[in-house]
Amino acid sequence: MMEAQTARMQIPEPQDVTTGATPLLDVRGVSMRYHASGGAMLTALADVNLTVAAGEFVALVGPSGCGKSTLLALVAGLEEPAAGTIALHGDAGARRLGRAGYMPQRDLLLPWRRALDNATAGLEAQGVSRRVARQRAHAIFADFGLDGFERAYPSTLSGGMRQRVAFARTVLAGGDLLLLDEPFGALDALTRAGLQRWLLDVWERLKMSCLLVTHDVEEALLLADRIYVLSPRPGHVQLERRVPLARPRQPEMLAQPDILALKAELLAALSEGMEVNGTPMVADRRMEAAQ
Amino acid sequence: MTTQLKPVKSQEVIPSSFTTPEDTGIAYPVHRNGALASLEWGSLMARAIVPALVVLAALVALWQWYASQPNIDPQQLPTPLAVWTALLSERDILWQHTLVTLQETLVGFGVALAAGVFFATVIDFSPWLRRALYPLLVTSQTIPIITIAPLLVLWFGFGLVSKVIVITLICFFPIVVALADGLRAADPELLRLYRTFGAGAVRIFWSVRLPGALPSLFSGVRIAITYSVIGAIFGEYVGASAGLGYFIELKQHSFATAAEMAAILVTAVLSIALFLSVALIERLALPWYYAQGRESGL
Repeated sequence: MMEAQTARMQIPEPQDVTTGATPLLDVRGVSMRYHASGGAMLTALADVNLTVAAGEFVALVGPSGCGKSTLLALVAGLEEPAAGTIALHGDAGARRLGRAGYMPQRDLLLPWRRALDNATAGLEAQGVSRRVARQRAHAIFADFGLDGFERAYPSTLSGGMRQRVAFARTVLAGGDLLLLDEPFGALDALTRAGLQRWLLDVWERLKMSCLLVTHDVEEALLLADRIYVLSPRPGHVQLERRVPLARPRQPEMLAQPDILALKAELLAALSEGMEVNGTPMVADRRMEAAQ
Repeated sequence: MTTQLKPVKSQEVIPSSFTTPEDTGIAYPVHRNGALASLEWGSLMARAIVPALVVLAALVALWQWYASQPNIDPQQLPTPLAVWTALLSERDILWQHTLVTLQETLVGFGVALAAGVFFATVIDFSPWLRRALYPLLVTSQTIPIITIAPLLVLWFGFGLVSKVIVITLICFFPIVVALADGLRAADPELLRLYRTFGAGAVRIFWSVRLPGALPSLFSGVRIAITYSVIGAIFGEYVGASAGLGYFIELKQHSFATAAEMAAILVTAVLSIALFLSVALIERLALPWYYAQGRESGL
């Protein structure tokens, strides 16, 4: 499919605060603290600023324990920041739960629902009738490569297919913003590479706004229009870069000299943060478990 | 054991194109096809039952041989053949008593199920009510039913009510514990995901917690249904005017041991029939649970 479309489009210039238009998601000065064991306060995020424009794919890269999953949970509305504002469509006061499609690392499909009814779960939870929800899920099932598996139980599906059902559920429930928390992190390398290309393909058609959390720089380069690098805890934005790649993209593009240079810069930013603020990995893990 | 019903999975294939998803290599050997599934079910049953039947036949033969010895008093130990003869000659009366016991059992079990689901749900919704009720529920199980059954007959008479109370007291606890545990076991990440859909506590209960707790509930129900027949027999034994327990007590006093044992046999068959009914309902109600490669709990 992509081979046929050789003509390369110009990268769409995402609207952001500097152009005056309201970004879809505007995170300003957000900080987050947790109670750690022993009564101490742990600062997970410190003064994070970040925007996602309508139709833009933004990746958030950082070492484990830097608070990137926390940031996603904040945007989804699962938690409230200790300081700062999070605005969807310019409205910082509104309730965020139920307005963005949040997809965690695990597929979290309901084992008692068939694939199609898992895809409709989010819509139904939002009050859409089962009949309408099923029609909408049916309409996208073929596009998601799930045609013919509508009635399969999750336990009979492979990991990659389960993840696609979970993504269908996220897209259907998500309104216009998708929050993807390392959606391919639990998969093996081959499945992961396949799903990355698949997501690239689907997203280039859907053109929904997307905020992807990952620790994989190549994944970020392949998928995103812009990349934020978060520092180790307390996480703050250390680097922001635009990815100078046209769409549709292909994995081979990552071998271009300018992309290799960008990759080196991103990796340097990641490791530089580790040297300055480097915290032992064990502590990071414990921190994540505590969250 | 676990590989029986699993689908044959070939390698993971990502559709190479947006519109042609047919090459997604998974085959469904059993569940897609009703005839195959019931064949599989039948052979599972046969494999489950045959060894038990062999042992049972051997035991009955041994019993027949021993009880036929000239020094054995048939009032003390009748032969299996004598029990069978008594069963046939008393079959009309036994059937009447069986219906009484069955009615008590089903009503008592129904009340226990309703009470169990109610308490488990209440406990799940409020930590305060959990702390308030759980100790009382446990305490209710420390009372030896054998000591209060005569009191119940004294208070509520020889009829249905005293039996239903005995059965409910015996049966509701396994149901409460199983369902409460099942509700608590809900995946916290799944609950978070449903919150991001904008779902409230009531919808999360109906959509996530309750369906997820059903396998656990059925475990409790399977225990409860076997207890319920014992409860009915015991209630009748203490004081009744009809029912298998009453019949057993009557025959015991007149030393009609063969008829007594025939009634015990009917009781056992009734328990097994009810247990199998629950297992069948579970299988029909939770097709997804058995699609994960489990055999039914027989």
